[in-house]
Amino acid sequence: MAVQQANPAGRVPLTGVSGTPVRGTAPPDLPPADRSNGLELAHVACCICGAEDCVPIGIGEDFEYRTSPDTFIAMRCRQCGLVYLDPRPTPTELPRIYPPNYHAFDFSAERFGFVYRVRRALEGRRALQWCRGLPEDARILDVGCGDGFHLRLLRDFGRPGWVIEGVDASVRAVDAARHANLVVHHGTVEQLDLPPASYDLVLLIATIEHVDDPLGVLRAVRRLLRPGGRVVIVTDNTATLDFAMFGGRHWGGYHFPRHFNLFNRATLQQLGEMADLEVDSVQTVVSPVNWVYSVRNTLVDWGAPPWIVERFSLRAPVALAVFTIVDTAHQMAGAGALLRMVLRRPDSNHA
Amino acid sequence: MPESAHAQPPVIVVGAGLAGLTAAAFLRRRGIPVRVCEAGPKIAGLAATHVDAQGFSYDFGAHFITNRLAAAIGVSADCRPVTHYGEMVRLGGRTYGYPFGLMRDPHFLLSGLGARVGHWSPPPADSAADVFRSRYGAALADEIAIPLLESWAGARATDLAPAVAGVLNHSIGHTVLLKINSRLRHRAIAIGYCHEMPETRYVWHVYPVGGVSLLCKRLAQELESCVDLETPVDQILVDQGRVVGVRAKGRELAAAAVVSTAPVHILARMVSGTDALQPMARFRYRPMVFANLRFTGRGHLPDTMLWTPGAGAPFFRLTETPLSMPWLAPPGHTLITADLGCEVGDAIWQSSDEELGERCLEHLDWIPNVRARYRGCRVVRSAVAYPVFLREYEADRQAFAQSTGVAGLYSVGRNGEFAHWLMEDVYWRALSAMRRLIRDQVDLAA
Repeated sequence: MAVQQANPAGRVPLTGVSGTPVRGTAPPDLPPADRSNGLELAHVACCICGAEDCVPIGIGEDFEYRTSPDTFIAMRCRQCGLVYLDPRPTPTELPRIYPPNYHAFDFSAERFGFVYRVRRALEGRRALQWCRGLPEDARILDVGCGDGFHLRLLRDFGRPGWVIEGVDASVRAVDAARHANLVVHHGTVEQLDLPPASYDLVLLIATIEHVDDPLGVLRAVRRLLRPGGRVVIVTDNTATLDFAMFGGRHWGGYHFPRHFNLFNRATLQQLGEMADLEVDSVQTVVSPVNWVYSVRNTLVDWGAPPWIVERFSLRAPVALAVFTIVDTAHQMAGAGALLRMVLRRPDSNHA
Repeated sequence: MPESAHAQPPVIVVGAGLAGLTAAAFLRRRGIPVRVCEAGPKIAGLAATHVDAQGFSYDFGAHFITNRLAAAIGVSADCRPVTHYGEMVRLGGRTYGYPFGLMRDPHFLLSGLGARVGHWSPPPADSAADVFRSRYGAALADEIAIPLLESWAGARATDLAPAVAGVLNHSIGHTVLLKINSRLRHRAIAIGYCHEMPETRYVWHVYPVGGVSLLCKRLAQELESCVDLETPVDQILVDQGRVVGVRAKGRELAAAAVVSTAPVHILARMVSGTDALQPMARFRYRPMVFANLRFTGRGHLPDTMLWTPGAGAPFFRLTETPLSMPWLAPPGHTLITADLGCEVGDAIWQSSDEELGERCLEHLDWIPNVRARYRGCRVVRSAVAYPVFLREYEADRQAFAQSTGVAGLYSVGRNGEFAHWLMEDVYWRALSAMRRLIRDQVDLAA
């Protein structure tokens, strides 16, 4: 759950406008830069279909970290159904919206205790599933690796011959990961000069929803993959009951203002195909996190006392357990809280 | 025009109010060259706010926007939430909550219930008066809805088209739920405010620091070097049914399309080279005078807005905006805005600020010590405050609502659409119109 900020190509920030000025004079009463404390925001089009034809479906705030006083809008594209944040913070605001106490920078046993150990056991099993069939000397890249949680899993539970690397745009995350003796490249997968056609597996775990240009990221990832190499994407699912119940404001998956694009099966699959990757599988996965945070955000918004709010967090085993059961029921109906898509770079070496 | 000799001509937007700037900013984001021509010396149009030396703020009437509009434009961090909003009706010396408080009176309750029963098979409506009578029953219609409509529109309800009554887009049950939420949350949830997007319990009123013009200022930041102030467009040039340019300050400028925010009767006169807009030249707007009366103390009205039908007063509505937005008046003071329908040049229109203040005071004697508390009046006038849906041109109005009838000419905004849209509607509708413009341009190129 970390930052892999893509190049904001084609965006026009609200200040410092590019584009095609025609002629004329600037209005004389443009305000001074007197914004109380709001973020610099920019408008975007749908990253799947390019349309700017959207309707507002969710209105919320940064209930979790309160990094700014802004109100944010989740839009749904009328053409393809993608849910996206518009307007959204410009790249210069990333250090502000990912504060030093951001959970993905330090998901440690010391801070998260029992929940950490359970998650480690569960995710360890999942991670090894993704790696099934990899050669002894496989090269694996975790894009948006945060503090290296999944890298550590692969190192501890995987084959000794595997070469494991991570990428993250956040200095804090990279520092935390390097502290654990992990190989982590600082930057974005588009900007970094990583060796092309050399990775067997690329992971994008809770990353694709954070980036401004998911297609750009997937295309960059494709270049890094060996022919036949695979990408595993795990991201929030908008075709769920929790989204239907809380999508007007408090849905945990909005994670305002850090989740820029939110997918359902169809839009995620479309994204993969646009990046010229073959879709191996798209499935839903059980996760209690969006449920827990939907409840938490509701409580925060209604001004509930902290001792109740704290019963619903990543450090609250009871709530996590209860909603794991709830989401397991939904998973049986094919609507688990997360989506997992496995993509493959085609063997035939075109483009 | 050497500067655009070898470039694609821009889309020219006439008017730098909320609608014009929304349209221009959207086009520019899509990489389409735009140029905004504003006749006045400032941006913001009807969304302008005046703040006087004592700290009183004056808008063109009471303005409420929503958190959704503020967030869509990107100014939410500079907005304050409105915690309360309520309406009441003053009738025969009594005040009633609006709308449900009226039901306390058996006379109105029977009228309303009778109408609900008959509502399943309403008789055909020829006028706004018919619609109100079938929707609310005779008592509510004749004593409240019709007198209000008539002073507001300056025409007989029997001469107004049924469309003026609008469409009820929410049920009574939904309204009650929103009102309960409003109370519990301590937020003025927007009810009956936006027609383009759904009403939800998460959409409430906010007010930008420094006034609603902040919305326009933010949009104008995206339009640096594209806005020409003091550049009135005299003519919109049409050739063979298609817009080709405008004439402004004596110069002809080529245009790929023109987006007008001008009042429609003025637009009809601006367009040359076609008669397509001639029927719209007779569309009427109701001029309105807003008398802003300053008082010491606060809470002189029973709620933020008070409807005053048929009491013989020159105004039909009073608004004490500081009850919802305390910052609009300095501490210990308040501002009551009286809306007075009039005609340009008539006695009300020509009254001085003092005369008009005095005239309103005569009808506010039910406020205790009203004269001792009175601290003067400031008047804001608008010659085109509300479109008047007269039956005589209803067919033309409906045709105009579909299209201007001229290829490449789009009319947006409250005045430009000749419709009763509120600010959030204006925003979403301007975006829709610009999507249509882009589609049309693509079709044209193909």
